[in-house]
Amino acid sequence: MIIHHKMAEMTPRQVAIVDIDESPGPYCMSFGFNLDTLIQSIRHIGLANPPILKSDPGGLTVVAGYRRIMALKALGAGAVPCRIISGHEIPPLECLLLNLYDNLSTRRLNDMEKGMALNRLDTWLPRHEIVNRYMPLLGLRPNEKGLLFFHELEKDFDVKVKTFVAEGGLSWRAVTMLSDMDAASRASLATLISYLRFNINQQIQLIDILIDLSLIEGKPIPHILSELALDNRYDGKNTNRPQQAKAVLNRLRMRRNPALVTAETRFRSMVAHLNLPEGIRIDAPAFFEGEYYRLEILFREGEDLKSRLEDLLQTGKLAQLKNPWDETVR
Amino acid sequence: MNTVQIKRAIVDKNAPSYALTRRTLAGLPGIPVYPSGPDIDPLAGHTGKETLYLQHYRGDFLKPCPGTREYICCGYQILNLAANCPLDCTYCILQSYFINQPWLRVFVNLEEQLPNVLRAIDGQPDRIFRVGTGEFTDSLALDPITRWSDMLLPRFSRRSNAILELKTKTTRISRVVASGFRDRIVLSWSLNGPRIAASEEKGAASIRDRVEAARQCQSEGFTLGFHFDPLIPYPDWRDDYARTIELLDRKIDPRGIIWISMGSFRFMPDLKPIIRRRHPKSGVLNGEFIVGLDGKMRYFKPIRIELYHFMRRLLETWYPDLGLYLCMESDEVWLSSMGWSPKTSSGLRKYLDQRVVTFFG
Repeated sequence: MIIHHKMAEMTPRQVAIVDIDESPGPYCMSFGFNLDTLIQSIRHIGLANPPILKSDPGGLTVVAGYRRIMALKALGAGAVPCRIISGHEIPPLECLLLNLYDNLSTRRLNDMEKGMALNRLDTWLPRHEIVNRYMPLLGLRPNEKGLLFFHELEKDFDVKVKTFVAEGGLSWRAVTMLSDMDAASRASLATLISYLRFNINQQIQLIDILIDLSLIEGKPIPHILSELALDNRYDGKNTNRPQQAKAVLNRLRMRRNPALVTAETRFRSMVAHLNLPEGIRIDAPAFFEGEYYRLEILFREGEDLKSRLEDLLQTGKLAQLKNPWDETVR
Repeated sequence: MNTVQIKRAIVDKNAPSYALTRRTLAGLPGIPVYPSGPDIDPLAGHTGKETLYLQHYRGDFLKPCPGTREYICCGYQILNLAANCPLDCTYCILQSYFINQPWLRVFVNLEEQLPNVLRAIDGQPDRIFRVGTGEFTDSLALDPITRWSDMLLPRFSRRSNAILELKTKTTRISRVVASGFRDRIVLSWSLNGPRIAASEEKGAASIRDRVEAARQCQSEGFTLGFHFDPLIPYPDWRDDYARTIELLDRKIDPRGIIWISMGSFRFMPDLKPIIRRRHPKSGVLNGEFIVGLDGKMRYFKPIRIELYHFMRRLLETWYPDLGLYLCMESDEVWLSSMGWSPKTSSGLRKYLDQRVVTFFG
């Protein structure tokens, strides 16, 4: 790389912070970062590795060290020692790769930053090279649809979604599933997932159910989500976001699997009506697929067990416990 | 109906010397034939069902059906002639089962291996072998080309402790009918509601044509079997399945049916995205599925019970002794839908073996 030889010859010089373009620019890939550790480090040992700037007719652009410059600014520094290369000497792709490898050697990029890196590379390199070489380099599965999704993320999505992605909130499986959708569905789902902060398992369930419902009911996913929003079930004032996420999933599960969810609800109700003594519970097998229900009794010693079993047998309604679908089938 | 549209053949390096290779290629005049080699990428393109791969198979030709312990299995034996199927049913599990083994694969060393298979059968004279070729391919779809039936019928017809079941969704019966062998041969058709057959069983014959082919075979002296598998519930499923059973009633003498199996749609989870991608208009994934005890997706239990109970009621009204059985179901579902249960896989094997004894001695 030309840049490597050039830098070896360069002596850092002081640059006023106000002269440096504050935006991440075309080479940097920093998003959703926390400067605290870096600030502490600079405060204690100073700036160990000067940033690299590129001098263009338009001004000074950061090639590497964007976060260091932000940290120094937060510390109130007026100037930063930087290595400066001139624009005509170094091709943009080399600047970009310098930044990428500089970052990869010192930290793990978050998913939003990986997307930023891929998007920037996409300007300069053939797509197959990005998919097959750079996606694995970033720890991503080579997948062109995933690459396109990252394009959209940076270009079309708001900060809330981007922050959620940067925090690792969106699973790669979810990204892959979203990548197979039309743009409107993808946008509405990514927004909902990041707004209600669905966990990784919930994301997969949510996307899977919505794809099914969309095909079964012949409605676009944004339409189904707007129906949910109209129900006002996930925007209640008295519930927190995890509760709202769970409520959304439950409503969708009921719509997708009405017989199963009805059976689950009826079973819970039947068990509640048994008024089981304290420390005794009855559970159904997963999806009611196994043949046996499970009775759990908490007890201290044999006498306690005997007493609890007697209490249980006094519960006159035990025989009323049936398969929760028996009345509905046939 | 044109079930087979083979546009090229690829011959494995060990395959040219086999008679089945020569016979099969002779049945495909004019198509390009390539030797297998590193420049032929089996996963490239979408020519899976247009490419016939003649292969020397190194595995066992006779294998037990891959049933799972968690459900009651019939103890069927699979005679492994081929992999993949020229038909393109949307629900077909082979789409994920053989995802890394594309193309229609015909195992050309069958004739060489068949004596071993027969020796294994003859070596256990007290056991009844119910052997089928329709698990990993359609038994008859390729028969006009491969002439499997010429090879198999005489050999199985002579056995005293085995039957051979050829299971199909086609009407390609000419070779089996032309053969003189009837004893210990069961010709079976997979059936469904006419609407499922039309929309989800691409390349298969219509239900009317399948039943008509079965009628012809029965009139020619063959014992019949039917398989309602996969049963798929959808709006009006009852009417549609009733139409198929009415058709059977009009065309088939139920006394000549050795068994009718029923199974509901079930699949490994990795099949779902494949169906969504390959058959985006399919409705087979619309039902209420849960994860079964064997990890396969299957309908929520009361839905399965309802499917089987409805079918059983209609079928038993038609004729009370059809050898009805369920494929891969639990004791509880058997009892709830069929009114009895074989309790275990061993119990079901005995029940079906007894049907064999009753029909063939």
